Amino acid sequence: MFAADGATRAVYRPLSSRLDRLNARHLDLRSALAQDGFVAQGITFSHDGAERAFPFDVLPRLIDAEEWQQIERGIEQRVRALDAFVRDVYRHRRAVHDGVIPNARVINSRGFLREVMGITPPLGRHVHLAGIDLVRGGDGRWLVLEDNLRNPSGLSYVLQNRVFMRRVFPEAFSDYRVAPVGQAISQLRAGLAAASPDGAGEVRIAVLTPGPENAAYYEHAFLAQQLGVPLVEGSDLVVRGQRLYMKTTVGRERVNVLYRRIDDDFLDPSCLRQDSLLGVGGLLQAYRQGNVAICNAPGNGVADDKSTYAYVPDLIRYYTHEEPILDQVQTFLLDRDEDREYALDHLEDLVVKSVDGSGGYGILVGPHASPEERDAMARRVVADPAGYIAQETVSLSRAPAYIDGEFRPRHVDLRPFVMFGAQPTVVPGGLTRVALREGSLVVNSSQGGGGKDTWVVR
Amino acid sequence: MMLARVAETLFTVARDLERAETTARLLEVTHAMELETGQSGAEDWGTLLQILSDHDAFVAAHRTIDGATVGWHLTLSDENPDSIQAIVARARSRARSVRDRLSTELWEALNGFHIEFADWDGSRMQREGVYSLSRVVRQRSYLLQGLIETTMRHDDHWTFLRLGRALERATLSARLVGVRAGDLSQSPADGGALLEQHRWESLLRAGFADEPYARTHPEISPRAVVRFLVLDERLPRSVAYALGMVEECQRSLIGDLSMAPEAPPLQLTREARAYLDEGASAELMLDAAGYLDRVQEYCARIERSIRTTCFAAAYRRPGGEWDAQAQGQSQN
Repeated sequence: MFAADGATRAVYRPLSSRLDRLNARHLDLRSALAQDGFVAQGITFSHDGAERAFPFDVLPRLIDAEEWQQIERGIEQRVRALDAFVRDVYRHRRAVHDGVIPNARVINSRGFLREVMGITPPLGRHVHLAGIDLVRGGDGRWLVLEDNLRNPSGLSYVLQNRVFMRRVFPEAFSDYRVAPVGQAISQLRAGLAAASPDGAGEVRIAVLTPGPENAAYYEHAFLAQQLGVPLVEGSDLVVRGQRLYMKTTVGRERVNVLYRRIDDDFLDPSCLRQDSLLGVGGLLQAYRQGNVAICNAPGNGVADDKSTYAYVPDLIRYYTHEEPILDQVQTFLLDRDEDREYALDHLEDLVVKSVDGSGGYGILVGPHASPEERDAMARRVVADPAGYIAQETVSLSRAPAYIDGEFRPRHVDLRPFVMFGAQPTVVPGGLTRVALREGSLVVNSSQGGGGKDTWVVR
Repeated sequence: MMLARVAETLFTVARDLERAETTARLLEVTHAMELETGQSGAEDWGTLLQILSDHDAFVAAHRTIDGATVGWHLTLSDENPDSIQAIVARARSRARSVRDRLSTELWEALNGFHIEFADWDGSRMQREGVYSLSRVVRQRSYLLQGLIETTMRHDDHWTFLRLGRALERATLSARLVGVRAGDLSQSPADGGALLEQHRWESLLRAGFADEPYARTHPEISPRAVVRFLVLDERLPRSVAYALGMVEECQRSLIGDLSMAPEAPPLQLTREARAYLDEGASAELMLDAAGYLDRVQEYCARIERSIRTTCFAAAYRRPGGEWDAQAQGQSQN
C-alpha cells in the first residue's frame, strides 16, 4: 500500500480516504459480518485438525490494471511453457536432448510418473488449472515464487471473497472499476469441457474428492456445485471395459472428464499405491486408452518440482522462443557443488526449502533462524543435497490487514489462477494470501494464513 | 441421475431430522401432560422409551423412569445414539458430505442448527427446561422443511429427502399409536378415566391432530382417535398420509429415471397401503396393536427393499485409514 518513501501509493488513495472516513466500529461490524458469513456457510479450511472458518480480511488488495496486464501476459507465457514441458517429458524429451535440462532432474523428480510415459491426453493438455504464486518485492518487481500444477487450491476463496466484499463493503466498489471474477467458473467449465476425449457434444465431468476429511473439502464441494457436476469419491467410481463410470441408483453412468483433487499416487490402486482407498482401479488404463481425461493430468509434478524451478526460465525460452516476461526468484540447486558451497556460506541470507515439501513446512528462513536451526539445516543439506534448494530472500510486500480493530501491515503474496482449455485464461487478481502473524512470511492456509479479496482496478 | 451414496445419505439425513423433530414434540407433549394431570407419569415416560429408544435396556441401566432421566436420555445423553444431540451431529456430518447437492441456504440452516445445539448442556437444560430445548429443535426443523420445500429444485435429490422423511414418519406414527392402542380393549378403572382422557388428548397433540379432531368429532373416543391418527388422509402425520407420500415419492423417482419401474419397494408400498385400508374396519377394532405392528413391519420391509434396490452400490466409508489418506492429500 505504501511506496518506499512512505507515501500512499496512487492506486490506494481512494480506498485510504474512504477508510479514514469510516469509523472503527463500522469496520468491526463489517469484519464480524464477513466472519459470521464464512462460519455460517461452513467455508472452512482445516488447521491443526479442526475445521476453522477461513480468515478473511475485509480490506481488499489492489493492483493497477496496467501493472496487471504485464503479470497476466507473463503467467500465460509461463503456463504455456510448463504445459509444453510436461507434454515433452512424457513424449520425446526434446528439451533434454537439446541440453536445456538434464534427464536426471526429470526422472528423479518426485512428481515424475513413469506410468504415464507415452500417453497424450486430448489437446495434448496436461495443465488444466494452475495456481502460480507471485510476490511483489520491495522494488515493485513481481516475481514468480512457485508453480502449482497438481492440486492448486483457493479458487473457491477467490470467488467467495468477492461475494463477501460486495456484501460487507459495497461502497468501496464505487471508488474503482474492479475487474470481475465471476466468470471463472464458466471458464473452468470450458477448460474442462475442452478436455473431453469424445468432443464437445459428449462432455461428462465429475469432481473427484478425497472426502469431507480433507482440508480443502469445502472447495471441492463448492466447485462441483458451481460447475453443476457430480462430486464423487473413489468408491462411487468403477472402470468397466476401460471406461470410467459412476455408480448410480439405477446402474452406471459414464464419466469422461475427471477433475481430480487427489494426489497422483492415489489415483489407481491397480497400478500405483495398492492401498489407496481414494482412487479407482483401472483408471490409468482408461486414461491410456483415451476414454477419460484426467484434469490436472497425472505426472504434472515433474514441472512444479522445486528442483525443476531453476530451469523454468530456460524452458520458457526453449518452448516459446521468447524471453520470460516474469522474473522468478534466484535459485541454487544444492547438488551442484558451486551452488551448495555458496548457499552453505550464506545461510543467513537465504531461504532453504526441501524439494518435496508443500504447504510451507520444511523451510529454513535464514535471516530469521537461530544459529542452531541453520546448523541443523546445513547438516540435512550435506546429507541429502539433491533434496534441497536455496533461494534468495524476497521481501514480500505488505498490505494493511484489519486485525483486532486496527490496521496492521502484514505480508502478502498472490496466487492467480489460470484455466487452460484451448487457450490459457487468467482470472483477474487471484487469491491474496496474508501471513496473519506479525512478521511472519508464511501465508499458507494450512498454517493459519488468511486471505483478501484482490482487485484489479482502473 | 443420482449417485447411490448420495441418495442413501439424503434419505438417511431426512429420516434423522424427522426423528429429532418427533422426539422433541413427544417430549413437550408428555411434559405438558404430566404438569396438567399432576401425576408421576412413569408409565407415560416409559411409553416414550418404547417408541423412541430401547425401554428394556434403559430400565436395566437406570433405576428410575421419570421426566428428568428420560428427558436427558432423549436429548443430550452421550449413551443414546438416537438422542437429539447425536442425531443432529450425525445429520450435519452426513449432509456435509453431500453439501454440493443441498441449497446453500439449507446447508447454512442445518450447520446453524448444529452450532446452536452444541451450546446446550445439562446446566442450560436445567435453567431453561425441556420446553425451551424442544422449541429450538422444532423451530429449526420447520425452517429446514421450509427451505427444502422452497430453495431446492424438486428433482430426484429432493425426492429422496422427502422419501426418508415420509418413511420415518409412517414408522413412528404407527409405533406411537400402536403402543397406546394396546389399551383399547381395556376399560379404565374408576378415577383412571380422566387420566385416560388426557392420554388420548396428548396422543392427538403429538400428531398436531387435537384441533382438527375437535372440529370433526363430538368427543374423545379411543377408537375414533386411533382411526383418525392412522387413516385420515389429510392429516400430515397420519400413517395413511405418510405412506401415501412414500408411494408418491417412488413414482416420482421412477419418472426421473432414478428408480427402476415397478421396483420391489413400490410394490411393497402398494401392498402396505392396501393392508392399511383393509384393516380399517375389521382388525382395527379387534386388535389395533397387532394391526399397527404389521404396518410397522411393512415399513421396515419397504426400507430394506429401497436399500437393496437403490443403495446397493453405495459404499459406507470405513473411516480410519480412509480418513487418514483423505487428510494426507496435498492441496497446495
